[in-house]
Amino acid sequence: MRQFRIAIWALVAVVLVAIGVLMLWKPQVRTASQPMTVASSFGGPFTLVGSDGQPFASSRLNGKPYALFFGFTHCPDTCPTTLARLVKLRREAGGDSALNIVFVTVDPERDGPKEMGAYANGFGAPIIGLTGSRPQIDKVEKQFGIFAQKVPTGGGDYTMDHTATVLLFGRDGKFVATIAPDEQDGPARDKLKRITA
Amino acid sequence: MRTSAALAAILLASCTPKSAAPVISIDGAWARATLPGQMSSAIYFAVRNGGGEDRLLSVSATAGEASLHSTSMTDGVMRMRPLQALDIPSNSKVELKPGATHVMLMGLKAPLAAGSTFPLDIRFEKSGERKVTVTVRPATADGAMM
Repeated sequence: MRQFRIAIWALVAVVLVAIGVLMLWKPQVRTASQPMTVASSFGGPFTLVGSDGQPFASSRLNGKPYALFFGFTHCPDTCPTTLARLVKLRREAGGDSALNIVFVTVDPERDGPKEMGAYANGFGAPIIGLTGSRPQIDKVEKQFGIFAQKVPTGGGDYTMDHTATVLLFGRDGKFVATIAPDEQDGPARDKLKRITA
Repeated sequence: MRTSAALAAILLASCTPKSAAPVISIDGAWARATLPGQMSSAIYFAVRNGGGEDRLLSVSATAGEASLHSTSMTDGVMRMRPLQALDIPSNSKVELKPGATHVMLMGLKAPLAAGSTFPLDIRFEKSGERKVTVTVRPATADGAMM
């Protein structure tokens, strides 16, 4: 009986330790449901490559609010829709020069400076298209909690899953708000008005 | 009066058996003009069905490689996946629109210019093949997401 009781307590101890280990050990995988949005480490300065092929430091954005959106030029639906909407909302909120729209590729292998420049110019209003080396893009994605992943479509081709949330920053470069992909125009426009006021 | 009309419509709708022949019409087919260097686009349209259920099985276009895709948003992440088929329930309107189900057009043979048109074949399980004309809208066309 005594031995039995010891065995039971030993079992309880093992289970408790196992639970403790499981609680402490959290896999450090950045998934869609766990975007890296820790306030203290969110954002910050970055250097990418502009459509002229020259380094583009985020300090160049200082002094004007900006909307930051990540996507890729081979994106047939979400990216052109989001950028067209941002252009429209900016026009309604304060005009083409009230806010910078910054489009950063998550697909630098296909989107070089030339591709980003041509694409960004296609919306009939100023958009800053940025690319960079793979490490540079990885770093910026991590900085802003952006999820991006290649999805093969066969024949060596691929599309990309990526965060489609627009990030809004004030004149001082501080993160202010987001525009969700499914957010209505009204509240989205109000946010733009607020940061450009 | 309006209530009774609505009631009549509902009664009428519920009278259509699922197995009845579908009555399909397609309207508002449009595609976004390609941006410089872009060889892909998306086509959107609405399918109205005034009869029994049907299924949209496939799409094809001479302009490029057309295929049915869904776009889903989870925690702000956009995911695009091929769709095998699209259910068209009886007495329904199924919309293909930006940020949702759409026809993806890849490997375009030529850029799509705003104002131009091109044909699209849509094949249904019961209604067979339908040909529609897709109008190309400017890249800046406002197609609200979702």
